[in-house]
Amino acid sequence: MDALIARDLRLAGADLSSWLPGLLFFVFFIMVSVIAIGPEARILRDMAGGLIWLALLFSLILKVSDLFQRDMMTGMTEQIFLSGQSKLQFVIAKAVSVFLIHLIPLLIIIPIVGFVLGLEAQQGWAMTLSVLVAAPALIFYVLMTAAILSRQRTGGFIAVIMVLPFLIPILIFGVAAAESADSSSLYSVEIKALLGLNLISMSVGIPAIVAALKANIHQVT
Amino acid sequence: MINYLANPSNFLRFQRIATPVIGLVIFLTSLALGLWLSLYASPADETQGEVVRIMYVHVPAAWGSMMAYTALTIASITSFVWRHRLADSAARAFAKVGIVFAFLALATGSIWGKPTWGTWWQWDGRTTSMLVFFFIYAAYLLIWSMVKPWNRAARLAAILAMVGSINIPIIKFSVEWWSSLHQPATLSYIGAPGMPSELLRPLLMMAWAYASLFAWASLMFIKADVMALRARRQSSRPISSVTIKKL
Repeated sequence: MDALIARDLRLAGADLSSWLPGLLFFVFFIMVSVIAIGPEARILRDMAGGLIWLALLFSLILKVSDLFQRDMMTGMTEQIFLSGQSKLQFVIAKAVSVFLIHLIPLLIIIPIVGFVLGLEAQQGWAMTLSVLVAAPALIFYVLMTAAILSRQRTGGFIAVIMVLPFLIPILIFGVAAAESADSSSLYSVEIKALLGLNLISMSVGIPAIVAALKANIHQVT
Repeated sequence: MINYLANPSNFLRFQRIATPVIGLVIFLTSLALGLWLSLYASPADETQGEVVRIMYVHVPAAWGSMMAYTALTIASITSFVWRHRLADSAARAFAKVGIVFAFLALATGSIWGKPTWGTWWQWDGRTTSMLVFFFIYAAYLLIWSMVKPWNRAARLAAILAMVGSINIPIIKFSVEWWSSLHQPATLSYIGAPGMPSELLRPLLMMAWAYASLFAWASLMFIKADVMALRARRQSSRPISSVTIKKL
């Protein structure tokens, strides 16, 4: 498992284009939204939570096409499945490396973007916290879509349509958690709901990911 | 019964009788009876007036789309566990009918919304969750049209349908929670217990008509799918050539 994570990290380190565009997209999305909405500070502050969450979702979803695809094309996934190693470990290693490579940079930049949009420092940290709490659910649903589409060369739009319904509850509770975090405690209803969604996404997502990868590996006639 | 129908040839034989019976006899009679009950024999609503009759086409469409997803889930589990070809055809047929019902529910709801709410579209809980439901059907059908070959599409579509069936209640409740945060409920729950039987009777009759329409359309779609597969298999069979030499 460590070896798998280390391998993904090395690949990401060697190839900046695997994770840097996602980060740039995140900032660009915010900037373009501000230009579209107009620079009035009060409106921007009200919309900041929703905008940040939207930018985050899209920058994760647009990753879908290369999360499993390269491993699938080079035969790496097939070797893992043939080697008799635990598939659970493989999926968890993948989730951890997605978190480290794709989500950590976004988590670091969220308070800065929040600051630019006129949020108080505490509200910016609340945003980061809400994303951090929701991270497992986000990652497992995105990975599930990536696994289903891992043989598809062009999967951008279908990935959005496929994964967004599953992300809607996370979006709803994530935005609500970020907004409530400055008024109520850490143990608010929204945080608890997100934790529950995490559990569901893991128990449903991991078998679904393995089954989808298997279906994509097997040379069906 | 199920075992007998699981054979495609037996299924084709069964549907040759079942399709006209369900389509012509059950569907048309229940539709005629339902329309008569709902348009003529039922009273107009005290506050909504004649407009309430839209309910008789709107509510059964919403129920029908949920019924279609239940059937889709069962067919997907069957397909995933036993890899049965007919279950895939069935799941796909259910999804096609389901997405049409979901669209009908949205469209009639919008038409109903104009006179009662004063707006064509309202982002209330049930409208929004029905829209999400529509997109889940769309994603399911997109897999079928995108992924080749057929067996792989069947596996992946079944996985998505099963994960969706677990998530749909969560999505529905979270959307309702979301809309209750942003606005008060605008419409009391129609179809709640305590609905007078003059309104309930035409509603149930129309629901029965929609259910038989669902059965009829699904049978037709499954038949078309089985036939298309057969045709493809026949055309892909290598042409054998035999030359006989006369000595």
